[in-house]
Amino acid sequence: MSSHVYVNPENIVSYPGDIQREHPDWQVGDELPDGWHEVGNADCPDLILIYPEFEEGQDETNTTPVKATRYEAELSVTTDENGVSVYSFIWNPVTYDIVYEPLPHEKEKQRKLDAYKLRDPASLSAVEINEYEKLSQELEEA
Amino acid sequence: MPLGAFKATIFGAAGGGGESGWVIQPYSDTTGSSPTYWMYDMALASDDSIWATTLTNFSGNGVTFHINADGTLAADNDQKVIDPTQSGSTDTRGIAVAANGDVITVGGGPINDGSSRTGLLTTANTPGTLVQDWDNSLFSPVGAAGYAYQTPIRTKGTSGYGCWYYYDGSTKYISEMWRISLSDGAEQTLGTTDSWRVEGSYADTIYPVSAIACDDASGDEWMYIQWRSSAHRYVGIQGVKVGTGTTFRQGYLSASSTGSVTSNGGICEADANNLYMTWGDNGQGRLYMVKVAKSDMSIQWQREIQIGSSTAGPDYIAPPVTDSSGNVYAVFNSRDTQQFSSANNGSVHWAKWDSSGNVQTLDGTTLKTLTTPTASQQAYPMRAEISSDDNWLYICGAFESGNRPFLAKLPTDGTGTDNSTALSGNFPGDDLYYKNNWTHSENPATSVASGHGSGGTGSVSTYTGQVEDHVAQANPGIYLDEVS
Repeated sequence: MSSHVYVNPENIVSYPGDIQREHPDWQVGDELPDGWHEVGNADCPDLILIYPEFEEGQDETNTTPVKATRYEAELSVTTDENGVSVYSFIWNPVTYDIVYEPLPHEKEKQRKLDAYKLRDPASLSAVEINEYEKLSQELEEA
Repeated sequence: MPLGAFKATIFGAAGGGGESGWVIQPYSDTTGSSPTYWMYDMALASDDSIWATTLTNFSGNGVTFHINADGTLAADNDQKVIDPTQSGSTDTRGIAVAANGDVITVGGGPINDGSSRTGLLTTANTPGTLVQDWDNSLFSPVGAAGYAYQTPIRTKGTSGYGCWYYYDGSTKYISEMWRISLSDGAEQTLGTTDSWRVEGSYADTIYPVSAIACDDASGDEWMYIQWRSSAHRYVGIQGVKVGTGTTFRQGYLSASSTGSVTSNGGICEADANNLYMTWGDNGQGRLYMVKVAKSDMSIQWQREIQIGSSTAGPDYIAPPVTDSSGNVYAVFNSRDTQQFSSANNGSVHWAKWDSSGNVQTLDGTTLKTLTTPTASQQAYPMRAEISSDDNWLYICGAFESGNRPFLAKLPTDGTGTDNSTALSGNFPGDDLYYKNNWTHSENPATSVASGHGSGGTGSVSTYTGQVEDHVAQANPGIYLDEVS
C-alpha cells in the first residue's frame, strides 16, 4: 500500500478525506489546495520481532519473541534549494517488551468460575456443580 | 408469566405518543439467584425488535433473547437455550438475522466429528417457534480446537460470513474467515477455497473481532474481517473477494507505543468505496474512528476521542454503525476517575460523526455516557445497531464487570441525558445514569498503516445434528430503566 499523507495549513497530519472535507471535488493526484502539503516517506516500516538467543539447532519458529521494534512517525520539515518547505516522516524505532494476554476464553472461564464461587454452594444444582468442577479443572490445566 | 408481559402497564406504553428509550437487563433465572452474564451480540430484525445472545446462563449454555422495540419480551419461544448434542456446554457469541427473517446463532461448544474437540455450533431458527431450521457445526479438519470471539458473524444474501481463531497445533493461533450457506449451515467457498487466514507469529494470537460482507463499487462481493494482535499493538483488516483469490491485508498501529495492547474494535461498510473501523489504545483511554478505502485499505480520514482522567481501557469497542444519511457512530468504554473515585470504574460512551469526519454536537455535547457510580464496576459494549428510522441507537454489552447483560435503546439526537438523576425504573443492583458531561477531547488521530500478519488459505468442515432441539428458557424476564 502506498500511503497518501498530507499536512493541512495548521501543520496537522491529514489524509485525502481531510482535504475533501474542505474541498469536496479534490481527488488524490490533483494539485493540492493552498496551504496543504504532501508528506514524503509516508509508509511505516514493518514491525521487527526480537527473539532470544538461539542454541545451535534450535528452531526459532518455536521460540517466543521477547521484544518488538515498531516505528513512530516524526514530522520533519526542511527547505529545499528553491526555498520550498519539504515535509516527510522520520520513522523512529521504539523497542518494547512483548506482554502476552491470557486467551479471552480462558479469562471468561475464570469469570464464570468466580461467579460460582460467590454463590452459596448449597444452591448449586447438579448441572452447575458439574460445570464448576469442569471449569476448575480446565483452568488448572491451562 | 415473564415480567416483560407486564412492562407496558408498569412503565407506560413506550411508543405511544412520545416514545422513550430504555435500558433493560434480560435474564433467565432458574435458581432464584441473580440474573447474570454478558450480552455478547445482537442483531436487529426488520420490525426493529432485537435478537440478542448471552455467553451463558447458570445452566451452562448460551441463550437467545428476543426483545420488542418497546422493551418488552417477545414470544416465549424466542427465548431459547442453545444446548449441544454432545456432553458439555455452549458459549453463544454471535447472532444475526437472515434476509428471510431466520435467526442465526454461532457459539463455541463440543462437536462430534469422531474426535473430541471444541468447534462452533451454528443454528438457524424460525422466529416464534422452538423449531430449528437446521443445526450444524463448524470445525477445522486439522484437529485443532476453534473458538469464536467477538461479533463473529453477519449475513448477506443467502450466506453467513464469519470468523474464528484456532491453534495450529504447534506454534500459533490463527484467525480464519469462513462462509456458510444459510439454507443448511454447510461450508461454502469463500475465495478459491473454504477459508482465508491471517497468521501471526509464535505466541502472537491474531484475534478476529468483526466480520462483514459487502459489495464494492463494481458490484463485486467481498468479505472483510478486522483482527487484532495480542502482543504487538496492531489491528488490521483482511478482505477476500468472494469467488476469487484476490485479497487485501493491512495492519494499523495505534499512535502510542505505551498502551499495553490495542483494544478490540470492529468494521462496517461506509459506502461503495470505503469502510469504517474502530479500535483503541488500551490503557490510554483513546478511541480511533478511521475511514479506509476498500480498494487498498488506505486511510481516508481518522479521528480520535481521548477520555479525561483515564486509568485503563478502552477494553471493548463495538463495530461502528451507520445511519441512512451516512453518519457513523462509535460505541466504546473507558475506565477513569473523572466523575467517580474508583480507578476501575467503567462507563459506556457513544459519539457520532458525519461521513466527512465532522463530530456531531447533539443536545449540546459530543459524547453521551451510560454509567454507574458503583465503585469498581466495569461496563463493556459489544455491538451497536441503528433503528430503521435512524432515531435510535441500540447497544448491547455488560455492566458490573460482565456480570449483568444489558440492552440500551438511546435517542440518536442525543436527548435523554440527565447528569444528576439516575434513570427511573427497576434495574437491580446499580443505579444507571445517562450523562453528557464526561470530559473528553475530539481530535485528528495519528495511527499509521503498517504491515503485520501473513495470509493463507485453509479449509473448514461441517457436521450436522450438533444441537439439541430447542427448549424455552425458564422464567425469562427483564428489568427496565427508562431514558426520556
